[in-house]
Amino acid sequence: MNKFADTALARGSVRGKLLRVMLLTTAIALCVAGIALLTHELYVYRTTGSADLSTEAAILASSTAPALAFDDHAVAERNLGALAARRRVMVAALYSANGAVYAVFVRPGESPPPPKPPPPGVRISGEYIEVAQPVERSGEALGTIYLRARYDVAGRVEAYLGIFVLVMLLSMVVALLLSRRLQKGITEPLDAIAAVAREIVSGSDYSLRATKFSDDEIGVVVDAFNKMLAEVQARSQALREADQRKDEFLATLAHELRNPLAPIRHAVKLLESHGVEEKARQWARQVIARQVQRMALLLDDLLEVSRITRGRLDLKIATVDLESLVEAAVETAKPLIESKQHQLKIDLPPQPVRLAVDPLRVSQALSNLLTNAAKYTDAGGQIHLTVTVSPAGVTMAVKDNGIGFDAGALPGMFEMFSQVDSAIARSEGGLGIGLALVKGLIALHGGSVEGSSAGPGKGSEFTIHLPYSVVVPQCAESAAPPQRRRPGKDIAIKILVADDNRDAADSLALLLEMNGHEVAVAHSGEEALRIAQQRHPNAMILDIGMPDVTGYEVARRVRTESWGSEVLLVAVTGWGQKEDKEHASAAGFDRHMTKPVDPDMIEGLLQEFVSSRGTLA
Amino acid sequence: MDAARRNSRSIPTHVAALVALLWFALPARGADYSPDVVKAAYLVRFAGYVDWPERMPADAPFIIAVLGSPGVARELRHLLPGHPVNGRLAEVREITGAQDLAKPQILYVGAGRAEYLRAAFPATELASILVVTDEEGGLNAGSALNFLTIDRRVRFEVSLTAADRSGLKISSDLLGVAVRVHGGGRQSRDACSPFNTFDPGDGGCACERLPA
Repeated sequence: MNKFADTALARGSVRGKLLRVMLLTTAIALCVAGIALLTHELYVYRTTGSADLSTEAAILASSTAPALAFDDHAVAERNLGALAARRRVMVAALYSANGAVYAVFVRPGESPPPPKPPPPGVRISGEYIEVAQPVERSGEALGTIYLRARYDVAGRVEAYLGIFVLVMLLSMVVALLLSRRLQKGITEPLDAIAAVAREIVSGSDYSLRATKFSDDEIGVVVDAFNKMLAEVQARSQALREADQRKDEFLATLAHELRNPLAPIRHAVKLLESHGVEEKARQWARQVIARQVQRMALLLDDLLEVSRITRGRLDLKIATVDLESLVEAAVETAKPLIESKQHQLKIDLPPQPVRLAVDPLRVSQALSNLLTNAAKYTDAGGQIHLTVTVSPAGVTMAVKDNGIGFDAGALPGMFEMFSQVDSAIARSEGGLGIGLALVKGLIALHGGSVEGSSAGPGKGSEFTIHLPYSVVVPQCAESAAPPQRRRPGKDIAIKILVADDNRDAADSLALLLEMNGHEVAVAHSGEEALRIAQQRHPNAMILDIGMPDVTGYEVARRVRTESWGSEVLLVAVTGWGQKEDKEHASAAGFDRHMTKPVDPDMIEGLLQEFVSSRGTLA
Repeated sequence: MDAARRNSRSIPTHVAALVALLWFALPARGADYSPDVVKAAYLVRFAGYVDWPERMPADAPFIIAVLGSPGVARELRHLLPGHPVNGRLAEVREITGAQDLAKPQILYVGAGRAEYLRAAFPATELASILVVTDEEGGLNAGSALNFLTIDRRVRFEVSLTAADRSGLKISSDLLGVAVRVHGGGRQSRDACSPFNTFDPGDGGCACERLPA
């Protein structure tokens, strides 16, 4: 509350306050003017009253001089008697030179004049003005004239106050009437805003708007008020939509996560039962593998998107061959494309191009577009991937002849958790985060994504634009087609896998063994150190969160060994935060991977490691 | 009037004279004093209400001639030495006949001598002189003013005809307190104050005020 809170002006409506201010101002102005006028009036009354009476006395002195000079009593009486016409004069007296009363004029009810002539001059006593004036002729003092007139200050003030009160009342009434008319310009717009504000507070209907009456300060307030309302309306609308999308997303998520469980459960049951043919077991294993893969992809996408939206995703920029990038993306999307028997056509630029991007993210974005195309196209459709490089940048366009979409759906399409209605109905389902993920990943590279469609049922086209700055200038050395490295059995490595989760450690070890590597398994930090001491592995894949000795500790100790400096150390954690990565690299790890670990990626890492070393210890 | 004004301007220079005048000043009730005292005072005061046609030399005294009234002459001699008239020193001159006249400003003719005045003084001799007589019908002798005694008070009457003839102008203020005003002409019209009755029977304007 400000300091005006407890003053009188803090209470009541604006209309009332304005009225009070107006009336108060008028009253004060009138009072001041009235007092000034009254003072002036009294001063004038006093000065003119005494001046008039003095003049009267002077005239009378001159006219009565002969009567005194020649002792004509009758003339003197007649001269004074003429004063009867002068209403102000109450008493008059003529004194002879020796001070005796010579002639007298007294109105009925008035007290007689003083018996002796008063000294010359004007005197104001009570409600009378008295003037005494010597009578002279030819330098001879003949006597004194004395006049007494009413000096009615009280009556004067009374009459004046009466007029004043009348004027006051009249001007108040006029001010009241006038202010009512004039105030309309101020209070009406305010009332309108207040009414709208009240209605909004009680009903939360943000679509209401205040009417603007004028361009003054109130008009500015009205504009600002309406602008804020529009903003609030837009935000609450956006909130509602986001909320709705979230709800839909949760429903979809539950559905999507639950979907793979049924086939997995069935496959496990089948594997558990006896007397099942090897062919059926094979099928069951494939089902489990496929569904787990699908679930992992789903969760990966989800995590990725949340990282992007929280600004927690860091790009690992590397120089990569465009062709291999595209190939990786196609490979990911291939199972779905093949299962739906789509025809995939790929157009690449004639010259090899190298890009400085995060290969994983870009291929993820591209594979997302390809997966989408496969998903939203009826079986046996056409998918066309065109990659071009121009001075404007790199363009990857995925075109299909699928279900397409309405142009109106486009703006929301790249929002998280959004899905085209018709798409939701399709059996493939999905979380509705694919395009948001693509957009986020490409935006991190400074690029953009756009979609277009001729309409529902007429296919769609999504295009990734990357700025030209990602293109690495060609040099002669890299002009040769890059060596395609396949994860395979060509080079065998001694590997130690350490994880307190036996299943995780054993399964990873099994996969690596299948690739032809020599793999040892440890289920604790101590064990890992012991085995490493004995076997001096080329690479160690260490879980960080082991109960006895953490992965960080193991890495530190290995690095202190004479054989340990050359070992490839890979950290595997459930947390992919920046701090975790920094922590890992401080402990001596070469790489940091987030669970669940993709065996293919580990294989790729191992191959990279071998080729960089050239030989193995 | 001019003389009166000049006189009033000279007041500060004659404070002593004023004090003396106050001492001798005529009280309201003239009856308390002897008629000679009153008449002497009136003669002096008349000068303030009359304009003479001729300008007097600056240092010439104001002369009041008295014929046949030693009492009034004595009172004037008492009064005048300290009292200037119309701003001049005034003196009394007692005369016995026309041969002594020598152009005074005022000529007072004592009671019972009006007939002698008319017989012995040629009208030309009396030009520019305010002649004041002092008997019933005194104006017939050609005087401008004539003292009367009414109710044992000294009053006076005025003849504008005589004043005109002598070239004198008499103030309407004086006419206002006169018992009677005789004669007409231009000046007599002025003489008729609102307080006086109008009498057309006298050829011109005769304003008369009868004693109460």
